[in-house]
Amino acid sequence: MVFVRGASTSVPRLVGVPYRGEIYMVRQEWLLRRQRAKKLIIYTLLLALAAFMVGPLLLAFLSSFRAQALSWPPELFPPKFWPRNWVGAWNLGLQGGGNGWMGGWAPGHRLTFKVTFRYPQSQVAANPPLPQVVVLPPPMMMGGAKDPRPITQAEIEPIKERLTGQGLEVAYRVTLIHSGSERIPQLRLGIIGAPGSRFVEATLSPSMVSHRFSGTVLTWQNITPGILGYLFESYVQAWTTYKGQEGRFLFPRWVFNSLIVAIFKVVLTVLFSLMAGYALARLRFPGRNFLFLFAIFTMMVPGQVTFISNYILLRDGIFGISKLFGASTLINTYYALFLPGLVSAGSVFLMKQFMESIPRELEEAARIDGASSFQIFTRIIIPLSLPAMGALSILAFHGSWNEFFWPLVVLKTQEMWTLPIGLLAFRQFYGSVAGTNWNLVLAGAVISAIPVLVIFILFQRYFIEGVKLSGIKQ
Amino acid sequence: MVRTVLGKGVRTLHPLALLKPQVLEEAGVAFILLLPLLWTLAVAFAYAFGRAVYFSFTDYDLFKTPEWVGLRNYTQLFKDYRFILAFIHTLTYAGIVTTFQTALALLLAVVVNRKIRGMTFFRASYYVPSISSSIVITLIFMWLVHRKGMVNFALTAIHQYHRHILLFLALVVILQAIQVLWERRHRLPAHPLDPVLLLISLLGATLGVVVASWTGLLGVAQVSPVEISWLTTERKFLGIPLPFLSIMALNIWTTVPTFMVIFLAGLQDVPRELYEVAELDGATYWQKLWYVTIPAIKPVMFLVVTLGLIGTLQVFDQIAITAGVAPLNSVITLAYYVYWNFFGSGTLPKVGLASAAALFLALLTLVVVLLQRRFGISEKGWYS
Repeated sequence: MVFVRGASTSVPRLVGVPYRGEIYMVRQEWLLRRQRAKKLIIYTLLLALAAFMVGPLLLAFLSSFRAQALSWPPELFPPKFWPRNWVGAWNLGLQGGGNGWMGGWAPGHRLTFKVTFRYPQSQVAANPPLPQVVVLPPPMMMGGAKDPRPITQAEIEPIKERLTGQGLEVAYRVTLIHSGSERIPQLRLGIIGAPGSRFVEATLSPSMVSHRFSGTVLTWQNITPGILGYLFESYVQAWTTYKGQEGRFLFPRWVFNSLIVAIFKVVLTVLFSLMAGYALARLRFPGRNFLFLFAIFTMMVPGQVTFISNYILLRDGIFGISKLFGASTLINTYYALFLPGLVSAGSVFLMKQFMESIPRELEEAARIDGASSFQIFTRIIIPLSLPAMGALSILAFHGSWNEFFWPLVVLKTQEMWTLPIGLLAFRQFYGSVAGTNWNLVLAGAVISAIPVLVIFILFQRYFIEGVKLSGIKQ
Repeated sequence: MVRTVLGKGVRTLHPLALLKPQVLEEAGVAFILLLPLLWTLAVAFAYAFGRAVYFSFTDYDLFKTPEWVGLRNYTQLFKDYRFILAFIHTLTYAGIVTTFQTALALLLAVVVNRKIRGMTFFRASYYVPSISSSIVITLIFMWLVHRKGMVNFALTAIHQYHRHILLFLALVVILQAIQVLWERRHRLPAHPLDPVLLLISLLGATLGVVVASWTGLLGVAQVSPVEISWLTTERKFLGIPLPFLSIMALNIWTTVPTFMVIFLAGLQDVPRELYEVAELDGATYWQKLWYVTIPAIKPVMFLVVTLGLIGTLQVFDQIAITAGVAPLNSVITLAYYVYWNFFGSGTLPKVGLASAAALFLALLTLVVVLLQRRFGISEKGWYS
């Protein structure tokens, strides 16, 4: 027996630990320490797993704040998160557009900022030339109108020189004057330093620094951003640079479309599942079992089998019925998203399962009082089914917001697309293999993911219950 | 499964009973309430299915009048190189993805099936890949596996620091072995993975690596950066195109959480007594997992495998989203083959051929599910 040093009065308690068919006597602390260490290891593993499962989304979110989402090494703390740049963005936004939050480039405004280059020892003697200031055209957009080209005068003058061990650092003051008559949301600027020079610092970090044969090129996507305009640059760009034929922004349109479609889908799903669920759970009629089994069976058949006929059905306006309402075809309308599959077998199944758990006595009492089947449905079943309606609404919203295949088949013009289809085009335009605007694609993806994440955090239980209940649905 | 699905209190009704007014009223209300569902089942499903069968025997192209061509579409399918490719891909995909997602989902469910503080948070965070839409996840994935993306960056880093990693692992093993032997000699029941000793070993190994790199004994390896373009390469691994393997990895990652939830529900239904009896018999953790848990959740496993097979055989979204970048022949599956013949081939839609392929896919799903029911993991649990 071993005594604990300094605690000679108390005898350490021993506990028996079975291991490989033998019982070992160990001190209780020995065991306790093991349990604590095990807990620590388990939590570490759980955290690592969480990082693996959530990590990609988190990385995408962080990288949407990078000016170049594909540059190596990936910076997890990009210049957009530096408070120094927030101050610069606020000041420049205020000078350029009179708005420290969202910035802008307004007529008659004048702005100055500082940028510092360093010239290597070899160039110092040669008296480095002034960097060149270039006002860049508005960003490339898909189709439609362009922002007006900014009419801007630019001046640059050296204000301070400092000799350091690595060379001569020269700070320049750049002055920009808006001499046009139109307000421009974003002013893109480039400054080209002499070949061999290095960028040191600026009032606002440039979006990109590239060392080329012709010189060191600094570019700003927006030199007058304002704090929000700077921090959420990718988001503002994603939201505003993709224009349609009519010159209106497409991204907000897609968000709106997705929202409207999802709301309608929720209403229809809940209403029709309530109706069908009640009939299948409670009412007696011939062919009930067959109908239910048939509904279950349809869930096994791939959507590829039925989508061709359903596409043709909609193209022909559902046996020509839509012509009565003045539409020769239903393709490229929102009716096409609802009409063929008014209600899914999965949601009917969920509702039926729930209604079967409502005690029958309530209905029987009502029936004795002379209530009809329809009255029982509206007065008793629907009020009691509120929890299931809630769960189903969440699941239907989630399903509609994320749906990809059917909108891809029936929605043909950019203005009609829902967000998932829009994002697909977004990728093709901004994220092509050589594309450099992946930050916009990521920003778009994050915008699309946010509503679902918020709903998930608020109504987590419903998602889990939904998976368990409709274990049959896929 | 059928009996549980139908629920209790189901009585069949003879059609003649409708002559009674109260029964007739009930059936009438039922009919009205069921109209939306009936419309869906009749028009969007039964009629559509029938038309698919009909189209598969015609040369319809969306514009001309369909003409009967007999079995020509079906024979043409099997002469089409792309179709054979899509068929092989689909089977490979279903086999590999279902296996991995089932195993990993079970593992994950076992890991999160313990009552410790904060577990709700962890479970919720693991579920995130499953709730995000296929487009969001696939876009982020495409960015990650881009030639200049994070995956290649991480691989490059691992390659650069592979000596550090190897040294670290070796030190952990050596330190752990020394400590365990020391404890054993002092008659303490130290498990090879004893948590306290493991923490000490990890700490020691970290210190060792830090010292080795500070003193210059261990340098960063000079390697050329990994620049695999995962989605556009024509390279293969084990005969499977790399882009396709990448998509498989993506799909496993997104579906594991869904099945984890189903497994978790099953695990929580396993009677505690079974574990208690096993513990009395001196079963270890892994023995309990293998001899108690897995047999007890066999019905759940059947459900998961079936759902997994149905889902993977019909994979479409990820393929359609990446198909703009990846070579078509590397990633095409049956579901995408159907869509591609209808919309994507640049010629008039081959409705007949697409329908035939779609029906083939439906048949394949049925056969695979039935085969797995017969020869794979069956519905019957050991204790039911």
